[in-house]
Amino acid sequence: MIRVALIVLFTLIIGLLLSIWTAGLSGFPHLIDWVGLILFYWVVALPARVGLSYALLSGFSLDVLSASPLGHYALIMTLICLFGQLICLRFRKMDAVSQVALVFMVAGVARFLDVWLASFESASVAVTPPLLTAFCSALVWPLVMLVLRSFRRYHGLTEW
Amino acid sequence: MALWLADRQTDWLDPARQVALNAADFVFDIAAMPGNIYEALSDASRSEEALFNRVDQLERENLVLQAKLQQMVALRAENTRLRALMNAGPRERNDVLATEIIAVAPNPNRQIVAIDHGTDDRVFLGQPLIDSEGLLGQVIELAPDTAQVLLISDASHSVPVQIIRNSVRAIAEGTGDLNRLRIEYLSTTTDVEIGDQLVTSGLGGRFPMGYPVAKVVAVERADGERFATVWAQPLAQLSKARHGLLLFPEGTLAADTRMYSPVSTQ
Repeated sequence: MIRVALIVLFTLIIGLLLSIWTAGLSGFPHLIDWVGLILFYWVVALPARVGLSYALLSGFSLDVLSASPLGHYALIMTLICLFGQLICLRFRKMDAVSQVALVFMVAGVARFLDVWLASFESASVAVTPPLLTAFCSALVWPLVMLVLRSFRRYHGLTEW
Repeated sequence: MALWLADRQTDWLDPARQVALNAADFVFDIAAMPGNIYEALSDASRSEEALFNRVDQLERENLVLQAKLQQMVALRAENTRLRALMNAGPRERNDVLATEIIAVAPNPNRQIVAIDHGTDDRVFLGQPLIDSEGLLGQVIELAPDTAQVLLISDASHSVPVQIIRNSVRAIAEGTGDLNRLRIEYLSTTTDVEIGDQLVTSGLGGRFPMGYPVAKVVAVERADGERFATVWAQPLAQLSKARHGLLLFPEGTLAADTRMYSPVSTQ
């Protein structure tokens, strides 16, 4: 259990770093929701082991690193986790194109929730268009899935 | 959801937030590593000739700046004498601390950058950050080794400014676009022209007076409207700046500050 936790947390920290590194590269911060994608993969792959606690932890980390009120990204990550838990069995049987389409929808809903919450917090403007984030996140999903699946199999992590 | 509401509406969660920020601080430190390694490698790989040329260029720039500084000293003395004649108090001066911008915060809705100085270096909330061209923003979150700075172009940021040419005061608001600020509540008859330079007015006490902020790039005066819409371009390199200067009230930094010697400005 501790091994699973360490491996999942390690990949989530890599996701946080990728979010920060890629934020400065283009004019659009958060072009790809790395943390959301990585969390979604682990929830779909190991639904009995990865759930709400990981979603809250990664969400709170994003909250403090992005100077958002506590709970903002925690709520979004919880939503992604909930989607993952609901559709994990069906999702695993889908072909790559269907998976990309579903990831686009999940990332899109998460990003619109992000914009909606931000609109209550301050006079913020979505610097990165929500659908662009969803589109780019969906595009890199096959790569994220391949890398994380290889990583999971290398460490012999199974669902039970 | 309850947590989000509580943190947004009250300050009950501030201690918890500070603990979480201190714990997550290492992520910014790790994020800065590739940039630091790249800089170290490129420094190491520079040829001797390139380094000599660079030193030569810096020496020449230093000479020009020293000459300008001499003129500044004379002007400052004259300004102090004139202010004394008018019975006005001495003008506020600042110490500065050089800092490096290490990351852009992963927030798609706000424009925030992280710097490599925090509470350990006496950085405080609301502290202004400038670069060589103008005002960058102000500190909004603090950790021991890092701080987060809200850029002046963020849609929730406003800065009191005045036009250098005629001292007209106004408020420059961020628009979410790194290259545009909006100047609000200037009546259509106000004397403002394209090319006017805006500096901090010092009103509100948050930003010291006289630091360059932006340059007016467009003035729209619609018939029947009471207020003109004025657009300005920030002078600071908001998207490119790698280094900045944190402004401290004069005398805050000890002469033996462990990282950089303070330099008086203004």
